[in-house]
Amino acid sequence: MRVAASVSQGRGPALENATRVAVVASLGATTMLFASLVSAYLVRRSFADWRPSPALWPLGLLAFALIASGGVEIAARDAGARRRLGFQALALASGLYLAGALGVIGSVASAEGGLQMPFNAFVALLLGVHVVHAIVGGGFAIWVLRVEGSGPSDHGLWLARLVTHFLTALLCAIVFLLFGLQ
Amino acid sequence: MSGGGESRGILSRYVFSLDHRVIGLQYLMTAMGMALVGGLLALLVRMQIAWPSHEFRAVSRLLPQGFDEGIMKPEFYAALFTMHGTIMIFFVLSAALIGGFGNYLIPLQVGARDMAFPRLNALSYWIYLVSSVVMLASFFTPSGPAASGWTAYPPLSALKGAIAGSNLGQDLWLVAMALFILSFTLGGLNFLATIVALRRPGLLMMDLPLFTWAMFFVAILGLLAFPSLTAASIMLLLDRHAGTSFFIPTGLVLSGEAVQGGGGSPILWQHLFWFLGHPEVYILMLPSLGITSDLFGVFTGRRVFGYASMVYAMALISGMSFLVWGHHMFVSGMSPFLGSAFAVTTTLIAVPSGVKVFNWIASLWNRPLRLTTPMLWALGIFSLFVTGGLSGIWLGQTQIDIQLHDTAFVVAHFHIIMAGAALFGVFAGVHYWFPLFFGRLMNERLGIAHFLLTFVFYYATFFPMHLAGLQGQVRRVYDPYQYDYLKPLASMNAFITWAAVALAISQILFFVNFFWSLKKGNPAGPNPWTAPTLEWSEPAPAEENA
Ligand code: HEM
Ligand SMILES: [Cu+2]
Repeated sequence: MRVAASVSQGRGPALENATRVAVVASLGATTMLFASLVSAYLVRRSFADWRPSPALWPLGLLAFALIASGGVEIAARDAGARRRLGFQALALASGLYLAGALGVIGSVASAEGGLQMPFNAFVALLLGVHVVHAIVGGGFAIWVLRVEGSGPSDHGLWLARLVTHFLTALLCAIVFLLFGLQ
Repeated sequence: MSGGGESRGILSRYVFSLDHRVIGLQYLMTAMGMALVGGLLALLVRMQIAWPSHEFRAVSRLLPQGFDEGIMKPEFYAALFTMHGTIMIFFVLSAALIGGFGNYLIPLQVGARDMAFPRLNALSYWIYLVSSVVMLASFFTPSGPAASGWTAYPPLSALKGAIAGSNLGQDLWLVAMALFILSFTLGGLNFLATIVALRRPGLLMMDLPLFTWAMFFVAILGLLAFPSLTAASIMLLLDRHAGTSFFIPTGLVLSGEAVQGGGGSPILWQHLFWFLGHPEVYILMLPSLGITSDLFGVFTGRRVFGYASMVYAMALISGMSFLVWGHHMFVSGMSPFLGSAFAVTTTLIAVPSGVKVFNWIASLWNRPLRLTTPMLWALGIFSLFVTGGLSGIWLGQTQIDIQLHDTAFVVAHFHIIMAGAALFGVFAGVHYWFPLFFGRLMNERLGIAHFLLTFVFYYATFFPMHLAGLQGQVRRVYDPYQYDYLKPLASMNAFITWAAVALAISQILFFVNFFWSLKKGNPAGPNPWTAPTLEWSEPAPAEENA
């Protein structure tokens, strides 16, 4: 659309700046969204009937997210074949993350107690909202990276890195809060 | 407009336009349409309060589900005040001041050709339009619109079947709000990006008009505060449809049957809601504060007193608005220590507000005032801001609020400061920028008459509510006179309702003036108010067409 078109036509640093401002601001809004969800979670887990359940899947999800982030990092540093490899890692890991997260949500919903169990409900809530953001953020990253001739622009790489790293950090925080807090 | 405009046809020029000016006017017009609906709802609410067994013949034919042989049903009364509040706060005032004036003026005031992302901007308007339609559509569902207040407190909002409005109407309410938030977020990103990155070279932030500064803070407030309502709404939707119990407490009984689930906390919703809710009221207030400051500058012939301190005051008000939400929850059973903390932060907001008031006094002091219509509206905002701020300081004290919470006193407070100041801001802005929008001036005589009537009837409507509240009249009650102690207030309530009717009738003057001036107003010339800000150095549209 307009941003990418004008960036690649060199329509000026002002518009690039504007895009950065907008992306950083939307990450700020996303942070507030998760801060709200997490504070609800922290309140709820302080109630007497709270029963967490341990699980291994968070490690799998984290691994995929870290690989996805690493893929962008490689792509940003290198060019040529290594860059292509980085993008492939990004695409594959993101796909696995999405499938895995949806699987987890399905399994807590059908587990004993289902979503009526507050812990399960928060797992589904936090992961579900993260998945939505991962889809939007991933789509955005793909869009700014669309290779035209000489490869993605520095500007595009900067944005894609920012967004994917942010989403990965967010997932780390969610997993820590759900499973690491005592 | 960009080249090739003529060949693109009317549809792409005026309907699916990417031009920030067209989008701004689309917002303004849609908001004016929504205002008619919201105003009608208010009159119905007021008639019911004054004359509880009144027979509504015409309306009951249009919306039969809400009436029983012409008599309003209690749950429909709840739906009316819910939709009135929601429509006015979000779909009228936010949309007009921010979507309307913001879109039209920010690019002009910062000297940019358009918003940073015109497509996103158009998308934001269309999402807003769809959300308005969804909200209105709920009137025509079998069980009627949402009825849990503009604050949508659970369990009423969480349990399908709790009352009529808790069914499809509440879902449509949530969907419409989600769309509205999305639209507002896209708009906010655009505003920030445009103000920060697209200013004309050499134009410093500290040179911007205070209206644009207000839009800057409004965008930040919206981006950081709305997510908390988004979070709450997602959780509420899950409670309603996915079997979770985030907000549903244990032990509820609904029509004789125990409610499934439980263990959740309705108070949690209140926290999440008010974490948005309080910043939202400042989202409505800041544009009017900015407009007032700018107009005082223009119509006293000297820049507003203490420009820099005005900017810092807005920054402080915005920042602190995130720290006071608990003052809406003093009676929710919160710890008195926490209550005191919120009382302190709430009272502290009076400091930056006071700075603005003193700067305004200093701006007007000993100056020749040009009392044009826009200036009158700005003075009206000044008056409302002081009156409503004073009652706010009362309400901010826990001890007093425990008596006054959920009474007509609170209704008086927020209608004067938020609804009134924001509405007057819309009128100030329309009168002031009309020549910029349409190349003609609005009629001054009609404008002044409209201002005087609105000012008088606005106070006549809302000031007595303080007294009713002090005497214990609770808000959101279908028939106040079911309580003996409220029977003596019947004549005061009738007075308020007549004042509200007069207020509504006075608005006809505005619409007449608006549409008459579109066609017949005096041609304005490029800078009719001799204003110093950038938007007036653009050629007016009339000249551009010539
Ligand atoms: C000095 C400044 C202010 C103070 C100390 C203050 C304090 C309060 C308090 C304590 C309440 C809660 C009353 C209750 O429900 O028991 C309240 C309600 C309210 N205030 Fe203010 N306020 C101030 C300014 C404003 C401003 C500037 C606005 C909007 C522009 C505003 C809009 C509202 C609204 C909308 C409500 C009622 C919401 C509802 O319950 O539906 N207030 N205010
Ligand atoms: Cu408040």
